[in-house]
Amino acid sequence: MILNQILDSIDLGLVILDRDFRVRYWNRWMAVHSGIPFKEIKGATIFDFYPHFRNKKFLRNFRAVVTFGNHYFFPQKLYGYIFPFKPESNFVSEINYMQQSCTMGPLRNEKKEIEYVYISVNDVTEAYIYETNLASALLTLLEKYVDKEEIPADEAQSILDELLPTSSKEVLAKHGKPPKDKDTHTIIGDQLVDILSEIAGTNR
Amino acid sequence: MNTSQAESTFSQNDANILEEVMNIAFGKASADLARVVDIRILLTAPRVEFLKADDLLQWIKQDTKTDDTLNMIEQNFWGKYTGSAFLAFPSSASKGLISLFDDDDLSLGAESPLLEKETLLEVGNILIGACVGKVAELLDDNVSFSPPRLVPQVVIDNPSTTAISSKLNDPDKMAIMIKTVFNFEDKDVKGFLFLVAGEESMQWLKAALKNFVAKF
Repeated sequence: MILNQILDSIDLGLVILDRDFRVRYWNRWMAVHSGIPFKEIKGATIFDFYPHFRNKKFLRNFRAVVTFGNHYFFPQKLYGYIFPFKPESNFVSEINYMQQSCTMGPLRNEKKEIEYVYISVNDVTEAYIYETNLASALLTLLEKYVDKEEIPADEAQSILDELLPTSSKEVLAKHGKPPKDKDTHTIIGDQLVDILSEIAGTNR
Repeated sequence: MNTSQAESTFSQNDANILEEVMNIAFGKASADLARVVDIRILLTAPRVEFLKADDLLQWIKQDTKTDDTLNMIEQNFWGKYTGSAFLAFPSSASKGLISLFDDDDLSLGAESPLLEKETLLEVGNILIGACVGKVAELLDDNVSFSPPRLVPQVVIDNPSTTAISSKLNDPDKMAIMIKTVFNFEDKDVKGFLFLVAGEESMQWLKAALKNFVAKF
């Protein structure tokens, strides 16, 4: 009883599937964000509502979970999202879908046999937007220094490769900016330099 | 605790039984990997050693000495048997590992560095999960896993200056190290798997091994 209240109150999506991919539990968070009530999805396979799960990678890792008791992680950086939900905030215009970090793991019965698989869904949209903006600003700043020939291009590239989870090209593609959008980049870069100078001045 | 104290807690006989348990577990893992996820892999008979946690990374580096640079994946697991797993293989093997999975979804492009990194992490996750999961199953335990991560190259290159893990970096603590060599069939990719458990698992492990032997 209390456990059910907790599962329905937490700010986290929780889905429980049986070994035949049938939905056995779908918490309130999932119902609210998907628009699909538990009673509607209960007993259906996950593919009935989300056919994109029927792919080799998901099936392989599902099998690893039920066979070995593995956990599988769906990082936002690779998947973006696994359930196509609208972003929670009404003021997010940069992206179409809530960014998610998800985990899939085993659930065992009294005989310690793996009977179910859970999938937890974390909304990481805010962190993603912040990280992408930061990456874009960094890229702009580096481009500016490269243009002024204050930093060699290969050094700037290695800084980006070291700091960013994706290549600079992928960051720009995700951010929807062409790589050589000089006007926008110059404006952002100038602002960033001003801000950094101000911070440095305050800390002195 | 020094080496001799650790060994008096965990006897040579215990180590032999542990090697046997690992051997059975890895054999099962290998068979299931081929059957379930179509990864054909050979795992050598595991070797159990004791060493100071502080020396761990240097030991791994020395033991995996190759002309090539190393890629290393770290994944922590916890249950009654708690520790860290490390999967190390030559960097040049990365491309071969990517072709391990015949995936239909290559939206990132086969040459994407992100795809390469994620494929390595997926291989590591499956392999470590299979081996640790089977060991835990044999010893009547359930383990959970944290996400796998790539150990930064700078750490691998400078092992003497880096504390390997906040849980294992007490220089006085001893670790039980289990090492096996794995070979991907058809891919000519060879690597090393290390399972490291700290002192906190020793007492439980001794009891679990005793229970395991009592079954036969």
